[in-house]
Amino acid sequence: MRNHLPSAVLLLLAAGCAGRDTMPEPEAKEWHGPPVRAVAAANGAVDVVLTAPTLGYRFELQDVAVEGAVAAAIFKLTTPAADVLTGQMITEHRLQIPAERLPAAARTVQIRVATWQDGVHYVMPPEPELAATVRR
Amino acid sequence: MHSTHSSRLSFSIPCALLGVLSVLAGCGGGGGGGAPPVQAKAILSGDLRVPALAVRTAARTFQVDAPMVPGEVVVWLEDPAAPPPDLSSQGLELLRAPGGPIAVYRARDSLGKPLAAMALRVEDSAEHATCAAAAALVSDAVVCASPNYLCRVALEPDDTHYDKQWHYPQINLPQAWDLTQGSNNVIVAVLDTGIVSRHPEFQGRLIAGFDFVSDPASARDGDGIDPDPEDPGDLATPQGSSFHGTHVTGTIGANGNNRQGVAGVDWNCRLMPVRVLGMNGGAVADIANGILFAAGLPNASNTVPPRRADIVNMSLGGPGNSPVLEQACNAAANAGALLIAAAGNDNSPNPNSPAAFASVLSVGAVDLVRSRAPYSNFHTSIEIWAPGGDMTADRNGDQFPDGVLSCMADDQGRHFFSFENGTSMAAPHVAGVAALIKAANPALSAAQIRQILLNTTVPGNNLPNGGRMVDALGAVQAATGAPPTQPLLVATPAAFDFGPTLTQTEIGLANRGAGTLTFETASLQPDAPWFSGTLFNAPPSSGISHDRLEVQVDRTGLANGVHQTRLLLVFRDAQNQPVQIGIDFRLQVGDTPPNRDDIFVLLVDLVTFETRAQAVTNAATNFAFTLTGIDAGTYLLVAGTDRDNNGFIGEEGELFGAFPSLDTPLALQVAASQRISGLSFSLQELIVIQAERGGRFPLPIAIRRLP
Repeated sequence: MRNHLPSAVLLLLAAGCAGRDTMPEPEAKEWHGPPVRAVAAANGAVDVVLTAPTLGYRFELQDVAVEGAVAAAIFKLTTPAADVLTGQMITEHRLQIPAERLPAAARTVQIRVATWQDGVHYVMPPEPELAATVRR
Repeated sequence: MHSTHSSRLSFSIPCALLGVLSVLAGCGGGGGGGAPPVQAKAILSGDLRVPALAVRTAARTFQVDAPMVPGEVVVWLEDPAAPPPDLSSQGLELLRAPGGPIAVYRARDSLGKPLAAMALRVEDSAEHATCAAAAALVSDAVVCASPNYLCRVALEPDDTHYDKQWHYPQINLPQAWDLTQGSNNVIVAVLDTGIVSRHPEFQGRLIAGFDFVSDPASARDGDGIDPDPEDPGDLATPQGSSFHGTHVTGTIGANGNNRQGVAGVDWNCRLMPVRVLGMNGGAVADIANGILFAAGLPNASNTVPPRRADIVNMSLGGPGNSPVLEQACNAAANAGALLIAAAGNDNSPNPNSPAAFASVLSVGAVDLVRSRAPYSNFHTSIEIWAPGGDMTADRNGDQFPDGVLSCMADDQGRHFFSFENGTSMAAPHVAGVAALIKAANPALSAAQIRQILLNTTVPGNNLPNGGRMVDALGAVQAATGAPPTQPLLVATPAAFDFGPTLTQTEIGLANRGAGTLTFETASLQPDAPWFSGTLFNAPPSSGISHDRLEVQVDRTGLANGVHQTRLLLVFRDAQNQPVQIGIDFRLQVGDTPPNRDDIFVLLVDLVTFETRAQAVTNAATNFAFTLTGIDAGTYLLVAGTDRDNNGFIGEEGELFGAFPSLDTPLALQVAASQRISGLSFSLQELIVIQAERGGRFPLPIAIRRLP
């Protein structure tokens, strides 16, 4: 497990996952961002789609942490700067968590998204929020 | 069987992307006794997943106006079996009575000459025909009579994918196109991500613009501001660039009626691309300069266009409120440009700029049933609503999401069309209609055009804050300034497809001409017990007695399949003459009908691109196939229809698929005498439309099948 994961995620995985197939109760903040959906693909990957209200958003997979039967995929969502104008078109961002990053034992995959805003200086990185969960 | 017919592959599968798929032989188990016979050739088998037939949207519009066949009177006979009555004493001469209850007579003047044979003005003929129709009623053999009014279908362009552009009939564009299709003396500036200038739908329409994206990193074109507004792509998503400006520009002015692609609102206006949005959005300073440039005012480029834009479309916005941006908008409006902007997609009552500025016309988005789109802002500054689409729905059951269909491109340089949704898609509808207004009356100022747009709006479906929708027909009619002399009965929409799930809708009725219209009767052809409707009274002085029709449908007890009917509404004008309109309704019950096409399954040699084997399958065999007599080799397995029977599969308009998927076709390495089963894959329509943003999509590839 990588040390740079937010401590809340580490604690969550360690406390909730040992020897269990079920998803631990999320202690992380509830997701209030754009809609996110995740679907398990036939080859073991997980397809993730974020639907942004406009252009100007960026969506990236940062890391995948696995603890037993639960994997937490950490995404970074960057929203447009407050003083920027963007095209007003609903825009889907499609990413895939590759199968090779998800061991077969990790049957529950949590999609956690940390939201940043362009042009903002952060003293502490934003904490990821649980946006979706998928069973494989 | 195998053959050496060549195949034409107009796309290439880069070798680096090809995976060599070694498929385990699907040999049957051997029983007791001797070894199974050795197969000299390989056998491949599998099945196809074929989409059901799509229910096409009834996009036809229908209007009745008072012009008529000069001098003719049409009557309904009391007894269709009896000979048509002699009406010569009423000045009517029988023209034709081919059978059934309807006969046509010609009115004669006082000298006995047929009216149609004389050089009468239409008005004179109309008066005589009206009198003659009244005269025909004197006979007991005649139930009713009227002048032989002309009913016609409003102009519909012949663009290939027009039938999927539900958003144009929604705002009465076909009727407006009867009056004008635009003018190349009108200039519309599009402040956006730039333009893909080589898209076929813009040929002959683009004029010089400018690129005001000042940050080279955001611009992705190697420099700051420059005279080239070409869109290099904004890498807006992991899947690729948005080419937002190309889609918006297509709605405003894609070439119409050119037998390809899609239609825009205005088929003739000149389009000025002004690039202000880069990879990271648009900076206020860049957008302000773009506005000034479009309006012919001093700006950062130190140039102005030879002629300023008449209309400026801004499908962009943000929550900030910049006084600099507002100053630029005010200056452009004072210089004579009409500014139009998207209201924003935050599903919020908060204002978005520049749409909320007083000098800018703010546009909200509606969906296919004219309700507020779920994402559209609803601030009180929104002045007009237009189709922006809702791609979470497929309300008309045409198997495409309910987005706005327009031009698109990708980072590989391909040109095609896509559905998108957002207030970005709504604003260009209004900009295009503004261009039509200007074309209909070039003398109109921007302020007058704006007022016409707002004065001619029509109700939507419970829009917030009393919001109303743009109406292209009313706007263009008002622009001409010439008052109509006859009633003009219009239904909006003029056709509606309930698809598989919708149960109710609302149709607007209006008299867009002169005089008054009073409702008389309604009938369904054919009878449709699943249909019920309620007419509602119109406000006084609206020129029509009833202006709203609520329709409910009940699928209970209906057989699976498509059911349709036409509602005939008959009104009477002030002279008691009938004026009628037909509104088409359709619904679907149960599963979409299965596809009845024959599908050709081809095995294509990847070295020579020759079709080596073929099987034909269809719904009767559940689209299962077996290919026999296959030599060892490396192949591509494809399948498709050949509806035009030209010997090729994989062309636009056909179903097509590749194993294991069209997005990622793989080479099949087949060994001698190998048996491979379970080769299952899907087919899809090759209509060069990208329904899902960013997904790889099929392009026509035209492979020759065996005779």
